Amino acid sequence: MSGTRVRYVWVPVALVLVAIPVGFLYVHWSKSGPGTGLYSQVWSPDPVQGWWDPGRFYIPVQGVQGVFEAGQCIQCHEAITPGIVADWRASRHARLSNREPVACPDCHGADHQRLHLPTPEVCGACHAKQHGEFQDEARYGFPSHVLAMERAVDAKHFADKPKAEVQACVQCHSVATKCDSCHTRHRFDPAEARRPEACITCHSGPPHPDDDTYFASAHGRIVREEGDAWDWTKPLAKGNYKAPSCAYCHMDRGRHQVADKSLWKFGLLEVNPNTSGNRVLRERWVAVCMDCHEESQSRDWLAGLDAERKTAWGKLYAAEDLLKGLRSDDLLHPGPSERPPYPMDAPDALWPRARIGYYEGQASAFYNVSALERHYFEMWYFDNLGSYKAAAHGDTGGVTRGHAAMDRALVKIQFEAQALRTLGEAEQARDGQRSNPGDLWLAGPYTEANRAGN
Amino acid sequence: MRATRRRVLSGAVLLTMMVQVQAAPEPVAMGPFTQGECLECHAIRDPALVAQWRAGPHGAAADCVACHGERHGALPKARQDAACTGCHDGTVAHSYATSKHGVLVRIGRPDWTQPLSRGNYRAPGCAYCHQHEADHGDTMDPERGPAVRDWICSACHAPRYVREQLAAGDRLADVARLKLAEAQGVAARHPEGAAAVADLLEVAERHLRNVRLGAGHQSPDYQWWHGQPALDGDLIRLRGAVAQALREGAARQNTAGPDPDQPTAAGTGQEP
Repeated sequence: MSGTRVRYVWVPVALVLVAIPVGFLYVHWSKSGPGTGLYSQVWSPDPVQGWWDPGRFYIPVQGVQGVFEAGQCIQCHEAITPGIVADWRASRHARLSNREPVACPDCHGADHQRLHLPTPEVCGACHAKQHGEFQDEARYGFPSHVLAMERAVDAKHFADKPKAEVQACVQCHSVATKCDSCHTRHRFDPAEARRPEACITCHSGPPHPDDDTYFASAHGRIVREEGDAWDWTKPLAKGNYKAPSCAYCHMDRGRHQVADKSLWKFGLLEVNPNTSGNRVLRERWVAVCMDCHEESQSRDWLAGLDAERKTAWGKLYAAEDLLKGLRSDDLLHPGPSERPPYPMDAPDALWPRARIGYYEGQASAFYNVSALERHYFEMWYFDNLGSYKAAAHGDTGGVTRGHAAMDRALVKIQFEAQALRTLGEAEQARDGQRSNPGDLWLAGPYTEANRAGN
Repeated sequence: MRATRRRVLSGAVLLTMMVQVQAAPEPVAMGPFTQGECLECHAIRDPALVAQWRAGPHGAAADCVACHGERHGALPKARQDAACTGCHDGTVAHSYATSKHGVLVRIGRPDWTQPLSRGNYRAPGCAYCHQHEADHGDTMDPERGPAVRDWICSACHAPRYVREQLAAGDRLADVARLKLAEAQGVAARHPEGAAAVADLLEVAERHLRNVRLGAGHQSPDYQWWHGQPALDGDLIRLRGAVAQALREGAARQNTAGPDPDQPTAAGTGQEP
């Protein structure tokens, strides 16, 4: 073997051997900054983040010194915070039949200067089954509860925007970092968590109108009308409830893997619902529906949802094609180089481009973009996701409204795309000079404050 | 003699009756009452409360009957959220109803016979915060200062948590105000003046209000989806409208007679 040929072998091998540890070191470094997640080096947490992600950011109060027993905690806190003491007294933790009560120091620690807020691991020390299931959810990917905080802080717009603004995000995404999103402190009552209302603080609003679509469905209407009189202490099992709550279907038999049947992925991207893996998930859905309904009817409903998704993606792709056509002809206004760069993307400054669709990261491109891209973002993120939720929850009116909104958005995008083309072509024919928006997209107190903060 | 005895006896009976009448609580009719009739008694019995109501936000907008109904014994009803949401509907009610507080009140079956005092309720209804301790003004009026809020929230939350959360709400609203200021700046650059995009600015103001409602009522959904990204969308639409108008204006100018010194772009005369 000649020296040249040997070089073909050892140079790539050496490069790989260097690249792997360098990659690991880079990821380790990027995650070791003052924030958390992939961009932790570029941001520092807002002062309240400690309450949303206590495992990472909670700083115990230093004003009170001493190591206390439960009785002493209660003695003081009965006066300081009577509401939570009353709540705890009414909880199961306070009156266990077979052991001493689970009291303040068991979850918070006893040294007042080193107090902590309970993370899922703290709860998991006793509730091992539920915690194990909750952790296991990670293998179903995102969207899921257990990965919610990770995905929030790894979103490019989270790292980019003022931290005081994105505190609004982590309030819901804290479902991954503490258990009281559903089991409200200090009663932690499963009967409360089983009710659909327990979910709606986060599962509401334009991209996931779970509350509106569920309560408009036949299931939701029954629960709304009759649910107050039901015994919600019963487990989520066949025959116990006349109509299903959120948890009955999504956490059937009380399992804490909420995403274990996540087939259509929130409607965020087009999925093939009949891959071998997704057929397994379909069977899980059918099994849940069959607690009350016939098998054939259950399958028909799932097929109906598939059809709704296919129609929706037809509309969305039509809009994406129009946008991509404008992008190829450099007709988006402002163009990518005329607006602030895509967040957290260094090459974007050299190589600016518009992000269109799920795979290009348009979920983070909802600000500082052109009006047309924003129209598509709203069509995709609000109208389409709303329509998906309506179809999945059996809210036919919601499906009609969602699709009508998508139709209107598509017409608007077609109309404005044509106007951009006409204007662009006229400018081209006149003197070849493209209209420049000046600093219209780059100036303003918010845009400037955000840039200064990064 | 008999007559005297009868007189004494009847006098004694009458006296006993009078004493009994005085010892028993003053009999109060159940109603219905009109607003004027309410005030006739309560202006004397609870003058401070009536004065507070007159000076407060309801003084001009809602009378006694609006919240308490026309009959006595309706205090527990007036404490409930439903007493408020008849008027305060829409985003105000929805931002609260989707908060954890709103949910816990909705499903928790609170004992509304309890006074609106610390520790009496698992989660606060509208009146617990806004009419705390039977306040007939608005306890949450910013002019009352932060101490009263700290006191009310800290019945259930640690004092430092309360301070930090309220400060975070202020910061969140400040960010939204920056966005509205930016929107007003963009609108002012419209060739026909900000009035041409007044409708878009109005929507932005509504979204700023959503952020404030979300922060006040602790509804993440209003802080975020009905608030911050909605304001981002308003900024984009405003910029789009202004850019379009400037561009069309420039195009018209050029058709009228192109001036080689004048930049064709946007009419702002500024380089990117």
